[in-house]
Order: sequence, then structure tokens, then C-alpha cells
Amino acid sequence: MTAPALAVSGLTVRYEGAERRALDEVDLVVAPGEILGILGPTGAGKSTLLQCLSGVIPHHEDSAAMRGGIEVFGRPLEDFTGLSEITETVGLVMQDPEVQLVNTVVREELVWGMENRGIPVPEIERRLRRATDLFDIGGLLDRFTHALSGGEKQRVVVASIFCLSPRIMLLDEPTSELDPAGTEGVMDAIRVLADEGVTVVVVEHKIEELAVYADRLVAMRAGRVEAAGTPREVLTGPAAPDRPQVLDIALRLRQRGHWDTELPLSVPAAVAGWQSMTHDPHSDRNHA
Amino acid sequence: MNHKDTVIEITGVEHTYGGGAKALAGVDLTIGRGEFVAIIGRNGSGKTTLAKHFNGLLRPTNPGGTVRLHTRDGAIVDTRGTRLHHLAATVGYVFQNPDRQIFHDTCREELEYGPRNLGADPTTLAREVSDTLRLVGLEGREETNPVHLSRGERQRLAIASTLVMGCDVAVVDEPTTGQDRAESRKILDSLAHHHALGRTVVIISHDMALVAEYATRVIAMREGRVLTDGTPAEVFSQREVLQETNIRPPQAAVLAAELGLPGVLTVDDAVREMSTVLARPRPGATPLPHDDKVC
Amino acid sequence: MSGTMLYQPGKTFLHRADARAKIAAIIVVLVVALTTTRIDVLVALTAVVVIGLAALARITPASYAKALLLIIPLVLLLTLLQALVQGGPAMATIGGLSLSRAGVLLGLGIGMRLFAMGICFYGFSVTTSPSDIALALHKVGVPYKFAYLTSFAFRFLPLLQDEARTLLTAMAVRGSAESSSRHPLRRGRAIVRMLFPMLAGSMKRSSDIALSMELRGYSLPGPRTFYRTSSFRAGDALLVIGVVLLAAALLVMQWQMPAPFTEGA
Repeated sequence: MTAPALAVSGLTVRYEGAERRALDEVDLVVAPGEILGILGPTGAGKSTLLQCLSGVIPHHEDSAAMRGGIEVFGRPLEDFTGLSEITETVGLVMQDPEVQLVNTVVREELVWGMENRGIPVPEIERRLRRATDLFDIGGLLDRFTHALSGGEKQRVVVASIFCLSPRIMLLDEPTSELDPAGTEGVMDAIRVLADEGVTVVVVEHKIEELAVYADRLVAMRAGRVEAAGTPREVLTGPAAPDRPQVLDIALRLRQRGHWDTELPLSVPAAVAGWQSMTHDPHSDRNHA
Repeated sequence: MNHKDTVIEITGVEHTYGGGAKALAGVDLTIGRGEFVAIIGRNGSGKTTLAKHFNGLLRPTNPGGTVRLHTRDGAIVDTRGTRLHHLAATVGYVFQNPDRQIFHDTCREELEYGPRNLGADPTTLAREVSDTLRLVGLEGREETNPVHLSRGERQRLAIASTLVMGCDVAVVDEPTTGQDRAESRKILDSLAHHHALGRTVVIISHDMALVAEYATRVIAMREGRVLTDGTPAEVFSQREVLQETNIRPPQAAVLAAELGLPGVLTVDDAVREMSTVLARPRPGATPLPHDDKVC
Repeated sequence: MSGTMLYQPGKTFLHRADARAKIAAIIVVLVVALTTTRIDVLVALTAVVVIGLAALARITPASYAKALLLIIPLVLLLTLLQALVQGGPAMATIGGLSLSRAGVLLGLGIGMRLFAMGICFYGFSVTTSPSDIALALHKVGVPYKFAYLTSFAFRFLPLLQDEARTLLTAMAVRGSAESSSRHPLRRGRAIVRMLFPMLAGSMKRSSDIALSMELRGYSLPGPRTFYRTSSFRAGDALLVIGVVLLAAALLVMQWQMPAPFTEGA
């Protein structure tokens, strides 16, 4: 058995002066190459969790008291010498893209982190091409970072972390300012990376995309993990903070005794389910 | 639409930014009193540029383009040549990032700022402030420092500080970006309450589910022009047209269209229509002998 | 949108020139401009700068004329002051005040000096990306972490400017007359009101920026690679040599030719 990419046990965090714990006995295991989606209302502790997993707590943020264990590929996080060593394995994309663009021109932004790491120029060029393809930012390379739209900024920020080629990527609402097409583009890129073995933990409110792209979901509330499992398990359960509309429709029809086939997570699945119920009465009738 | 009830009248508006990019390429539009308008479209389609013309934040860059506001007292004001703060009483504007528009230490002061600028009656102001805070679900938070509010609450505070000015039109740019579902609903509910008072609301949004549920009119933008304009049902049924600009109607509407059920916009609509079909005895579908369930 | 950012990407000779060569050229022009007050020499210098920018970077005078117009009142005021203060033969007498010829020439000379230097700096910032400036500083011995800060400033000045503009606009759309007032005192009040939220925002943000830089290895001690290489090429040497020759020619001009408008004095 290979070690999990991330193993969290009993993780508890309390900010100075806060009334309650930001994280409360969180246990979590993430397998290598998996996309884990984290759901939950504002204040559930999602961002705090990502900060712990990336070493920001305790290395940068010192107003938080933390206990519990985090292992990255089997190695305890406290054994790492500091933030810079952790970032070789774990890349973090924070919410606000504005604070993560620290160069004037997009091309320099993508290259900057690799330069700091001393990565040879041919390799920099290779990753730059890859990042441009994956995140569809070829047209932005010579633009000023401050003149980009919010959605463009988000794509550049995710791409610049990708360029560091971390084995684990932690993404905090990476598509909040993107339109549906842009969101799908980023999700597709994440899928490609996961298929190549990169582990992705993504905090996201866009439930319809997450239902389709994530391998597993975790639902959090008030610092606790309320449910964990496949998208189907979590979203059909009581802890889901939100559901794709098609699933909502099917669940409500099921309550009325109407939806007796598999619960759908996407429109095509719902159409298929509907057809199996309305067109062909011979199938799917017996296990209802 | 009754012409008398127009609040914003836009004719032939083009807007070209300094860099030479044409953000609006000729827009004609009339917004009526009491509408709840949602402007939709991809990033960069000109939504925000258009909305910023509604209150003179931007002016047309072509000489022929005009934006006229019909004020409550019957006057017609051209935004060109009128200073921004004179338009504030007619059209309020809430920016996307709440933190760039909150600059007081208490919610009360934040709300009082706009009305005071407009010369509000100080004897009734306290009342209006607490009424508006209640409207957006922040009742009793008068003396709270905005830094202690959550991001969603700060967004509602920013909205309240515009609504309290009693403007005829409230324009709100992407109010639910980065908000969770419950908070998004509270924000839209605040605007719906304001709309119920007979005011006009204009939002820019990517969240089609909320648009379908709350808006009375949808304007889809593409490359600086109005692609299509109508009720949510009309707009979301034009799937081919919307595909051009990569807008996807809410899942409920897409699903219903796939199933050939007309007039579905929301989950409620879909559940109603679909259960009607499922409850009907299906023609041609003879139940198997062992099927003891009644559909 | 890019109000504080003059740099415009391009492929002209000056765009491609090494920033070190450009800095050297500027220094030479500055030395000439500051060591002479002779109007003929300064006019010649300004002309050369204008022609040089047009030829080597396709920067036409039209693009900076507006900024120059702003300096003209200052130059005229300066000239008037010098004309009144300096002695020597009068050029004209207005209402009992005699305007010194030497003073007028000195004032106009200083004006030309400002023009030459201003146009030069403009040309430099239009053709040199902030990161090239940083790279040039690093190449002449400034540690990268400090050199980088020059480019960093160009990234965040527009952000602050943008934020200030949004806050002032947010006040205006809430009916504040002062935020868009032309009256400096009233506008000042709006700016004071804006400062605190801006400051609070920047404090929070600078901590986040520091973190995001940290996450991308800014403080790593190890050897750093440089993706953009700037090498001092023959063209760059030519640029420096050309400017030095030009400076020499101007100095010769100063020694050999009599100063103009001075009737044998």
C-alpha cells in the first residue's frame, strides 16, 4: 500500500479570541491522484483546513493554536523544515487572486516561482507551454497582470502554482469569478492533472461542477466533517449544504414515489433516468 | 412596456476603453420602473460596462449614444454632462467587492452616509436605517463594526447602504460571487424585498439558477451587444442562441427542455411538471403483471 | 486602466536595448543637461533626444506633448523670475521693470533642460519593462531581492490607484459631492475618509502578498535562474558610444561657438 497523499487526524484549530474552534477534530484521508471537493457554508472551516494542509498554519499565521496530525505522503508535516520545504510538495491557491499576482506581466508571473526555485530554463519553457495550454492563457502572456479581469486573474494564479509542479494542489474557490465556460475549463485542467497523479483538494461552492468532477466530497459545517464519501453518497445525504438541481428534482420526485431509478448527478444522467422510467417500463422496475 | 414608466433609456451606446477595446458596440435598451433585471453573459461580454452606464459611472464614448434617466419628479436627465453625485438619488450602484465601498466604523454610520449626502430628514433617518437593515437581514446590527461581519453580511451591508438612499433603481454587480448558496439566497431575498416595494433592481450575475428564480427580465450580452432580451422563460428557452455565448440555463430548465416539458425554469416548476407526467397513466405502456406500483 | 504604468511593449531598437545601456545613455544626457546653461546647447540636446526617440523607438512628440504643456507654465514663471532677478543688459522694459536678457536666456535654458530630461525619462519608461529595470539593477550588483522590489512597486501602484478610485467613486454614487469635487479642500475630506479603509485593506493584503510570495519560493536562498536574459550586445554598445560622442560634440559646440544673443559681452 502506498501512503495516502494526505492523512489528517484529530486536527483542531482555534484562532486567538475566537468563540469556537475553527476546526474541530477533523479526520481526513486523500488518496494520490484524487480530486477531493470540500463543501460547506461560509465559516465551516474550509479555508482554515487548506491553510493547515499547506503549512500556512502554523508557519505564517501565528494567531491560531493547532493540534492534531497531518501527514503528507506518510511524512508528518512537522518534520518539514518550514514553509519553503512544504511548498515543494504542496501548492496552495488562495481565494483572492489579487494578492497572488506579484509581477507586472503575465509571462513573468508564471515564470517567477520557477526562477526562484532555480529550475533550468528549458524546463521553465516546457512547463510554461504546458500551463498555457492547460489553462487557456496563451492570449494573456504579454498582458499586464493588473489589467486582467477577475476570471483571467484566477486562471493565471492557478497556472502559476501548477508551474511549480506540486504533487498536491490545494485550491480555495479557484473559479469564483469565472463564467460557466471558464469554470469548466479550469475543472477540465484539474481533471487532466489528477489523471496524471496530482492530488487535488478544491474548496468550491459550484456544486453542479463539483458533483461531476470530484472523486470524493467532504461536507463541513462549523469546523467539523459532517459527511465524506463519493459525490453520490454525500450529496444524497442530509449533510449536503447544496445539491445540483437535477438531484434535487429527483429527490423530491422520489419523495412523492415517482423517481425509482438511480439518482442523477448531471443532466444527461437525469435524462437517462427519466427515459428508463417513462419509455421502457421493462427495465429498472424491480429494484425500486 | 408602458413608455411612461421608463426609468432608464439607452440609445445607440458604444463604449471604447482607452486601450482601444470596444466594450459596447451599440446598445439600445429601455428599463421600466419595477422591473427586476438580470444582465447575463460571459466574462468580458460588456455586462459591467453596460451597467456602469446606468448611473453615469461611464458615459458613452460615441457622440450619438445617450443614456437618459427619468427621475421621480418627471425630469429627464442625460448622464452626459451631469455630475455623478447628482444621479445618485435616481440610480444607486453597488460594486462587486464590498470592502471597497465600506468606509465607516458602524453599520449605522455606513447607512446614514448616502442619505445625509442627499439631504435626508434627520428625524426619520434612524428609522429608515433600521428598516433597511431589517430588509437585508441585519436587524439590530446598527452599532456593529463592519469588520466583524462575514463576507456575505458585508455584501448585504453594502447593498443596504445603497437601498437606504431610496433610489429608483439599484444596480448590483455580481452580488453572489464567492458566496455559498444560503448566503446567495439571503442577498437575493434582500433585493427581492426592495423590488417588492415597487423599486427597480438590476443585477449582473453568472448564477443562472438564481436569475431564473428572481428576475422578471433577462438581458443576455455578447461581445458588447444585446444578444437576447425577454422574460427568463423566453430567454432560457433559446438554447441555441445562448450557446453562442456559452450561457447555460439552470439545470432544471435544461433538463425540462431535454424532456420536452415547456415553461420550466426552477426546481419547483420541474418537480410539478415532471410529477404530472409521471402520475399520468402512460399510453402504450402496459404494466407488467408483477408491477404492483401505480405510477 | 494603466494610468501609472507608462511601459508599452514593443519591438523597436530601444525596446530591445539592454536596460543598462539605456541607463548609461540617460546618465550621459543628464550630465550634459546639468553642466550647461547655454540655450543653444540645450536646444540641440533636446532636439537630439526628440529625434532619437522618434527614430529608435517610434515615440512621436505627440505622445508626450501633453505632459510637456503642463511644464510650460512652470518654465515661463521661472523665466520671468530669472528675468527680474538677473542683472545685465535689459531685453525689454515693461512698466518700469527691466527684463534681463541673461535672465530670460537662463530661464529658457533651464526650461529646455527640464524638457530634455523629462523626454528622456519618458522614453526610458515607455520602452523598459519594470522587470527589465529590476534585472538591470541586479546585473550591476544589487541583490535580486531588492532589485525585484522595483518591479513589485509597478505591480502594486496601479492596484492602490484602482482601489482609491473605486472608493472615491463608491462615495460619489452615494451622493457625495466632495469625492468628485474640484475644490481641493472638499476633495481632501473625501480622501481622508477613504484613507483608513484603504490602509486597513493594505495591511491585510500585504500579509497575504508576503505569504503568496513565500509560497512561491521568494525567500529561498538557493541559486536562482533567470528566464529572461539580457545581454549587452553590440547594438547596446553602439547606443552608449553614440550618446557619448554626441555629448562630446555638444561640449565642443559650447567651447568653439560663441554663446548666442550676447552682443560681445
